Amino acid sequence: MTARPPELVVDRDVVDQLAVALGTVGLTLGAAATPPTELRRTWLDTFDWRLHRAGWELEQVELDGTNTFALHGSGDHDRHELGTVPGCRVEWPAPPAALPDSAVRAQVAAAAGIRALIRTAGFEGVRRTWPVLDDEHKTVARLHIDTPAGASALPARITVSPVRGYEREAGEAARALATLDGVTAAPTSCYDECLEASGRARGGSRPVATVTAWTPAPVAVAGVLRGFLEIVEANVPGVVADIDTEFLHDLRVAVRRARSTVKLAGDAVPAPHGHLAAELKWLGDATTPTRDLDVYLLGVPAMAERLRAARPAELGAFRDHLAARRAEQFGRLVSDLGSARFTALVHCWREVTVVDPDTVPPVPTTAEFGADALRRAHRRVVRLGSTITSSSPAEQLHILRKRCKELRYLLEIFEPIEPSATRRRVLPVLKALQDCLGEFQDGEVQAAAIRTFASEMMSAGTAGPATLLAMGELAAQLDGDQHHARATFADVFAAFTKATRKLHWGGGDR
Amino acid sequence: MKVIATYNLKGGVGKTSTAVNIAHLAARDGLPTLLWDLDPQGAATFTFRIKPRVKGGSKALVRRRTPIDRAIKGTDFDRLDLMPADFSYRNMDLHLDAQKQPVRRLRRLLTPLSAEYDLVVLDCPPSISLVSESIMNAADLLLVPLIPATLSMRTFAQLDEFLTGFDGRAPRVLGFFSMVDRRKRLHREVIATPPTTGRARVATTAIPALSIIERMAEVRAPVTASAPHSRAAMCYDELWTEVRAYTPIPGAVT
Repeated sequence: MTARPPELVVDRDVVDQLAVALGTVGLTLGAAATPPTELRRTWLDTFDWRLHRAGWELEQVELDGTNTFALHGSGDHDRHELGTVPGCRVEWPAPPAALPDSAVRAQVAAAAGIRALIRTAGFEGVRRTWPVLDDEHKTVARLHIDTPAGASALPARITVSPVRGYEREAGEAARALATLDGVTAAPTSCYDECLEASGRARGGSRPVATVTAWTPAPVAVAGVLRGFLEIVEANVPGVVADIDTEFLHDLRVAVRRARSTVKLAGDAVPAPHGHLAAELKWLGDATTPTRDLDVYLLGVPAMAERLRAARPAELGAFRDHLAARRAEQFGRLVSDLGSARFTALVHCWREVTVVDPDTVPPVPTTAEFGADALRRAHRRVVRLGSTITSSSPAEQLHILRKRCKELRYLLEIFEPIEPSATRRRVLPVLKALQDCLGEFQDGEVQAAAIRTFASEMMSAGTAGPATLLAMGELAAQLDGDQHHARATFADVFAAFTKATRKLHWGGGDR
Repeated sequence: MKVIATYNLKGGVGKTSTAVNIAHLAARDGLPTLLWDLDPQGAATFTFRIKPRVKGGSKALVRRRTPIDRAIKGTDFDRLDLMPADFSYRNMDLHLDAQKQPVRRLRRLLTPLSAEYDLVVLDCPPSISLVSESIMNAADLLLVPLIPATLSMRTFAQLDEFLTGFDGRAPRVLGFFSMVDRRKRLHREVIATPPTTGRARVATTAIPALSIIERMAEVRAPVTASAPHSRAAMCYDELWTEVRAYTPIPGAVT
């Protein structure tokens, strides 16, 4: 890793003073500057800022038609460069695989996971570069002046990039230049400045309502619902553009949470919300086919790895079938998201979240309301779970899974009122229970889906015997997973009830 | 990562000129390249205007007290870095000898650089010693400049024989005629009948004795950069083409 050069901002033309400043530290300015060269800097991250959260900053620099990609540490005091690799121009959004094969790509792929890279900020302008020479006339650094194009309000910047092994000299040069009249150390990086200019900030601004234990419950619940609406609205363009599968996933999670909130805490909302509940169900259902097919498609490589008798290549026709079905369902989803019904839903959703804090009664408080909602949700899970035996129908486990999700959502919504000790006790056992029920449900639904897909493929004549046998093996494996989940349920549920039996819900962290 | 060493027992035969120009051509062709000036005289280091100094010297490097990548300096040319010479390299034999498996030491020192460089060019001191054996063990190719003279050819044959019985990982050997003066009858005769026995091969490209090559130390830049259309630069270009054909380097266009 190499240190990143400091940046300076310039508010006037200082070119004729550069040599004098460098001379004070025994360096000289090379006689020839490069001709002004078109510069385009593009910063990239995932929609949910995974690179930023992992401590990275990815930049594409296009200089006179030549592209390089640089990955830096994004901490304020640890600005290091993992590497810079040449590459070709990429049309963003694109997956990390579009980066040139390198350590940079490996690091970005590890942080981004399945998310695509999107442009978060950009700088366009002109760069002039001078070599900075030592007493042997060796280039020890390169001095760049980047002037933004057109009528940009951004200031020009000076950077001094060290040649490898000459970081000390480059630092001295930068310090000498900072003493010039009209030059100051940049208070923020060019990236932050470009983000700010477009009204954004690193990490985005997560729409979380500020809820305290004393907040009137209607205000808190309306704020939570508004937050979910903002997530949905933020993700719709990414879903429609089909940038990556996580846009739809995040949209669905927000819709599901909103549905649970309306169902479990809707009494707190003064506005009528019966219609909203019905329309949220419609939206959730509209997204299900595409999301299910996304899950199958994403899971094909893992499924192929699990095959024992069949060969992974024999799932090729299955993957093609899934992709074709997905394209068909995605078209319907896009149509739904562009429909008047969706627009009306958003309108209705927004209206439900409009609450005047001055007119709502101060009670129940969020603490009182939340504690009651959590208590009831927990009781429902315990009651239903206690009735489940080894011969209970799959539908009963599915309903329990939904109740567990509701309890989880309530824990998230009413996080500020729950003591952290309570959360630490509940979350691990609740998560284990959800995982067990998820494995059971996935086995149930996916095995049935594979049989349906096989039937469709046979009717269409797109599946040979090898593919059908491989799909049969997958279905058998999923059946095995389901049996395993069923066998472990009793123990996992017992652990949940034991850990949560004597909990006092709500009332903490005031 | 491939390692090419310019080697000859004799001094003043064109090792440094070859190392400097081949390294520059490799970088020009897109290969991230490191040139390691192992000669304590530091001529290659001087050519690139870099100070011949390595913190802790040869001893710290060999003992890995100084990580090799910390001592590397960037040259004025894209993709070309230089590991500078240091006068303490004159004692590298002793420092290697104090290590276990000294012949393998240099290769181990270079291993961490494989993620960063496609090619390492070693500019070797004129000697046959533990350093030379360590270089031979590390190198994939020995590039041997040969003055077209009888004794020079005899030494080349001895080197080939030595490598045939080399206890370790022996490199391929490619000789080439250097400092050729076609006005001399002996030069013409020796070039006309290159050795064909043994493992070693002699390239068809010959580097002529030209003042522009001698003046590299004055200009302080590879001739392939300062005079890319000169006859000398074209000869080095042809030699580089032969080198790539003889020892394919991943990433290099052949």
